[in-house]
Amino acid sequence: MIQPRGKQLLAALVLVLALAGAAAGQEGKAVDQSTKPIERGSRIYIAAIEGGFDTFLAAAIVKKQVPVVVTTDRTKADYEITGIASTEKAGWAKMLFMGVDNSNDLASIKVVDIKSSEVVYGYAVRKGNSYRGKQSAAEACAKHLKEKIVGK
Amino acid sequence: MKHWKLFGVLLLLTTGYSETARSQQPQAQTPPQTQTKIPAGSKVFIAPMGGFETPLSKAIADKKVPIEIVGQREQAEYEITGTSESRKAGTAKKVILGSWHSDEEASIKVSSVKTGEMVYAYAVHKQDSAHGKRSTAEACAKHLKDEAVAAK
Repeated sequence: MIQPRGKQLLAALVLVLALAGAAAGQEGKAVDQSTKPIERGSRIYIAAIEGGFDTFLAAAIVKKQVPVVVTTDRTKADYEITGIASTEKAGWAKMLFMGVDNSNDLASIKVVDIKSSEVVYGYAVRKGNSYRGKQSAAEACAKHLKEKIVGK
Repeated sequence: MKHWKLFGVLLLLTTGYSETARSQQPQAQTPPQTQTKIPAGSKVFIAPMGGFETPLSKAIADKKVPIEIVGQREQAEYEITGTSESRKAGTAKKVILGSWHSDEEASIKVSSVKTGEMVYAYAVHKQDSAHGKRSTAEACAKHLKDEAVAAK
């Protein structure tokens, strides 16, 4: 039999483990370099990002309904998104002990005002055990970019 | 025991209040990335995507997407660019997880050749894909037909 005090401790332990698990799964950090807002309807050019992440980011911008116009012509753009992304495949140990083969994904983007060369927004995300790979990281970037534009 | 009951009641009240407050918050009106659809019968060029262009053009034909695929970019009104990645099941996945299927991800972007504006983008991730690249290509074609191309 577990004593009432033991039950409380057990409940607290479960809560702490659940919170720690959630925190370990996703980490994102946004940095506002400039107070200048990105206006709705701004034209954004997405530069080529390693592993085709730029295309995933464009798809995420559409999915998350970020109110910007993506253009493939840099000369017609107001802002440029550059960044890096990497994917780490699950090793045999992860498959054996956790029973999953989801990858770990890292991505980082920065939005630069083309005219002034000012960094107006930056965001980095790490998706541990990402079920949808690059798509998850791209959607996190798009979601936070939208928050920057429309406000929380 | 009384403390737990009191805690439960407080938790329910707090959850109920926050849900009510959330539902009453005005939803931000954010227009989608593009309002215009690709007219049916438009000429579309599929740029090379490391071999993904072949299953994609086949999927477009199979799913009867009402667009015309052209071989020259100069003849096209829209261009599809993108990326795809296949991760074949390794020995660890086969032995530990008992799965021979590959993990597939693909992302496409449709942009206007004249204006350079992106009109649609879509990303897909298939874990344990039964038909490899064909599955992701068909998902892209299906969503292209349903969401981006205007019906005839």
